[in-house]
Amino acid sequence: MFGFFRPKQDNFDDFEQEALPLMKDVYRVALWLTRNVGDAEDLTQETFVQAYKSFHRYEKGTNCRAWLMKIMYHTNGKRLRKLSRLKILEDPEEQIAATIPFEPPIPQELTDEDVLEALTRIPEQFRTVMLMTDVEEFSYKEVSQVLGIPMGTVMSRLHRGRKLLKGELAAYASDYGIKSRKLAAKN
Amino acid sequence: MNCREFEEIADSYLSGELLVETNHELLRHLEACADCRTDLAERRELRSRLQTAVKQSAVIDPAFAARLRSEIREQAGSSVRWSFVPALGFAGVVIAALIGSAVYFQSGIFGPTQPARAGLEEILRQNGLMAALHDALGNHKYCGVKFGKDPAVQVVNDNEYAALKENFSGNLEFVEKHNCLFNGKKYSHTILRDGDKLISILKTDSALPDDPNKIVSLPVEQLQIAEFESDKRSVFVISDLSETENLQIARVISKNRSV
Ligand SMILES: [Zn+2]
Ligand SMILES: [Zn+2]
Repeated sequence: MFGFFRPKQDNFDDFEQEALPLMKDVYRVALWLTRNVGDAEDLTQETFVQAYKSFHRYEKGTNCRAWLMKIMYHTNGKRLRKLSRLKILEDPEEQIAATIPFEPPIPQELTDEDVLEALTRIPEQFRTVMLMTDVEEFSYKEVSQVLGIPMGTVMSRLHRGRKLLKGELAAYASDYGIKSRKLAAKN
Repeated sequence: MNCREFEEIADSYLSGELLVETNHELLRHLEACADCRTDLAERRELRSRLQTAVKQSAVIDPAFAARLRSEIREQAGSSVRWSFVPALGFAGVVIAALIGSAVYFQSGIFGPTQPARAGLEEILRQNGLMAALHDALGNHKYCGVKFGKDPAVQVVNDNEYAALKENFSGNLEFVEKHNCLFNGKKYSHTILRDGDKLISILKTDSALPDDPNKIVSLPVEQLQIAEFESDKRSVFVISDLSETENLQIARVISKNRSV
């Protein structure tokens, strides 16, 4: 028999088709979870190696991206427990929601960098839900499964996350306002 | 529905999580309430700004992606196939999806001759181009779509646009023209609209040989991409038009190039 045509003994082809194209999405979320390229690459790697090992448990036709994200969350949780002895903070959701006074419009002169910078200031639990829903476009149900939190919590975190981001950007906007007024005064 | 109720479900509406009936109620309220329309428009804007910013910021290193892919393949112990894919990282994934679906058109005086299925080698030679296709597609999706949603329409004087108005069968409107940076590459980006269809014309520097009559056309992710090389630039036409229409636009541009 010709070596070229020997039957496949693995499911790499399926994995390559279904899972590998999603590497960039997994990495994107990993980068926001870890906030540094090295850790994001490590996390992506661990996720895919693990995913390949358990690929036989993946049900074809279901959302592979959500499946991978779930593995990543699980892997990241293990990584964090290993890395740190950080105490779990009290859930600050209520307090934060109470401190947002108004919702000004989003200024046009904001750059992508401003948006990213503002995003880094949003507490992680809200940020993660926003990334999952607004950027990665997972459904509430999928986010709830990936993060292991109830749908109601997904909704309230998303609501507060969006409000917080708007508030952050409004703060930038008033900075810009001050700058442009100064410039106008000079001329 | 009143404004308070709208406020409560606006997030879910934006995420496409509402039941059809609730959607209808919300839309009825929006028709009557300018404040909530503004509010919703701002929420949409914030969401799309966030999406664009994050997607452009966190781009995986192709070398890393290639290494990881090889590692998993080794783990699989499978035989070596398509070794060009890892060299291109995630762009390779797009390439893999494109193989077999790329069609080359030679446009002559009488329009295209019969489309010829391109051979694999031909596509391989276009490796550099495939990575570029991937970027151009991203630009259309993140930049083109962003501006395309903007209702402001202005008309400019532009050779290509004039030629398109004359030679394209659709009803083209000009949306926006700018230079933009995507994945570190600079593009001149013209955005047009034909009804609810959006068209990006993207031009970027290229090292590939000139061949404006050879138009590559292929479908990717429900979009059509047509590409040709002209005056040291890659020109991409990306849209959700039909392949014939998309190609027609590319052909008109290739014949009426304004450098
Ligand atoms: Zn209202
Ligand atoms: Zn652009």
